[in-house]
Amino acid sequence: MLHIALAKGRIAKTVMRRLKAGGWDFPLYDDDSRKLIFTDASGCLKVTLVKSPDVAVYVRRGAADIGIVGKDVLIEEGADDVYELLDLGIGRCRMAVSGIAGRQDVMKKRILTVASKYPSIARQYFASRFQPVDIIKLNGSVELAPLVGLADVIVDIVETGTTLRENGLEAYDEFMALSARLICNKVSYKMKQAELQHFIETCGFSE
Amino acid sequence: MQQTLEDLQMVHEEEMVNYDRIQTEVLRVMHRHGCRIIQTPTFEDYDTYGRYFPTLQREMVKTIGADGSVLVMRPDVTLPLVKTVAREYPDTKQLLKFGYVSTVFREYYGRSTHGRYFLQSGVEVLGDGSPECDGEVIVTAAESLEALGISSMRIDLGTVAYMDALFADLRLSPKALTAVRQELEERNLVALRATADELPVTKLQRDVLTELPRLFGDYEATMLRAEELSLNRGMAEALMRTKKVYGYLEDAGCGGRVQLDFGFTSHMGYYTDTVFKIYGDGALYSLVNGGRYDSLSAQFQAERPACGFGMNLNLLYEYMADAGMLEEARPSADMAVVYDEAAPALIRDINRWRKEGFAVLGVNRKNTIAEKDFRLIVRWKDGGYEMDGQPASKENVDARLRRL
Repeated sequence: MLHIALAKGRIAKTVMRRLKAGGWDFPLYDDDSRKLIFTDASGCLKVTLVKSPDVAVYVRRGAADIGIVGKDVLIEEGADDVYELLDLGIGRCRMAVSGIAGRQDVMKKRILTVASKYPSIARQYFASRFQPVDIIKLNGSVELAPLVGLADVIVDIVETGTTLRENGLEAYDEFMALSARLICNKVSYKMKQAELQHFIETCGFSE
Repeated sequence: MQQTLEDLQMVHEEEMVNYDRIQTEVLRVMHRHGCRIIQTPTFEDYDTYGRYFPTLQREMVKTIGADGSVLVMRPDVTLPLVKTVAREYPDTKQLLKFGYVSTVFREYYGRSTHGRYFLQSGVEVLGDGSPECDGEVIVTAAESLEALGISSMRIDLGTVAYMDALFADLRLSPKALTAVRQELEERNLVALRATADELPVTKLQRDVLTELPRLFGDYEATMLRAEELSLNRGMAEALMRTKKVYGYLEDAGCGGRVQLDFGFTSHMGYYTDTVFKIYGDGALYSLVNGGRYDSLSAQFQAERPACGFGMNLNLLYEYMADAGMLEEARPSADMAVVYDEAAPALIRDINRWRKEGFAVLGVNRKNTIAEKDFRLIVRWKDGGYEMDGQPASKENVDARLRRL
């Protein structure tokens, strides 16, 4: 049996639809259920829904053979000791530095205050530009930070830009393309190669 | 304030019993293969490791010596062993086989265990550069697992010489080479394909490069595919040598367990040729890691080929526990004599039993004991014994003790 950990939310919903289209039947699954573990009718595939930062942990420790999670999370949380096999092309977006529209000059401040759900990515970005920063880790609604004066800029993912626009913000620099990745436990990659290939093919996750 | 340091745990008796058995068995296998058992120093010079294994630097446990020098606690066994051998055995042709079981201070992760140090067993064979030597090292590792009752295993055999021979042709810049090696090591197919598209290489070379991480599987098919992908003499020679190692394993009765993997990279730039890993059935990690490292000794002014393996016994322990292969906890002593007041006769008896080889404990009735720790519990009351609630003579107790 192949065990897959999916990041809860949009990725899980998209992947579950792809699985269904690929012929995998999960009788107990529906998008709004609170159940977290599902097995398909043939008993060949088990799906566990976990919070996105935990996907790589499950895979690394072998609690799941494979996982599907956004590249942003993989970079932010660090995904040592797992193999990144495929770019699934779903959930495409960019990591960007954004701030109040028309006030890009703020980037020239000597010490920039940056709010982000991704402190590690933010730190790397500004370190590569030799820009001293004060990073504030937030857990959601990051767009608020520049509006209420908590931060000069934010580092967050941008998909269509609608949220930014609606809040009077704009992206100053889009610096990283992101999408969902298929990661694999190092041992499962070998031991379950046939099952893995079958899974990839039936889901249409071509290379 | 009370502080509990993470990952530092006492090893309890039932674990000690099992660790002891594991060590005894692996040491016995090493002996059978003619290894001399050694122990490298607990402390090593920080700079030596910094120079040869810079990637280990962050993981290492550092400490300060009495003279203010920075030391590390044994982060591996191979380096100090090779260094010592270079100094003490001037004849580089001499066949030297060493075995060890030592604590190694590095982080490790299992399914549910995590620690900052672990017990490692291993074998290092120096002076012999032949494929037969590689085969022999692999057989020793497989036999160690077998001796512990792990008979269902899979040996993944590969060689970094194949990949290195490909790199020799590609003439990549040092920066590009580092990136490609890293992506191969992580089997990051997404990044590798993107990088390969940018490299100044032919389409054929690109295809071989991106196929490497997936070039594994059963012996016949994978060897055939590797031969098709072989682009130069170095790659062909690497395959020839792997065939010889496989031949040795087949003759030693291990052939059926072998799978090939040409996606192995030279971990820390250390391996030069054969690389292998052994997996147990259902294991989430490799139980044995090993390979050939012919260039390490030259760094200590002695050209000497070498091959070896290491086995994390803490991970092995977890694997065996998961598989129900460990011994159950059992009473640690034969008999407890619970007394109200010790008497000379009782003290004499207890010591006589001990001299005869029984594990006997005298316990004051004010103390409590864990009953499961004793196979027999008797009372000493008013100058005589009581067994099962009935008065018993010394001879009765003696007879029962001998029947246990």
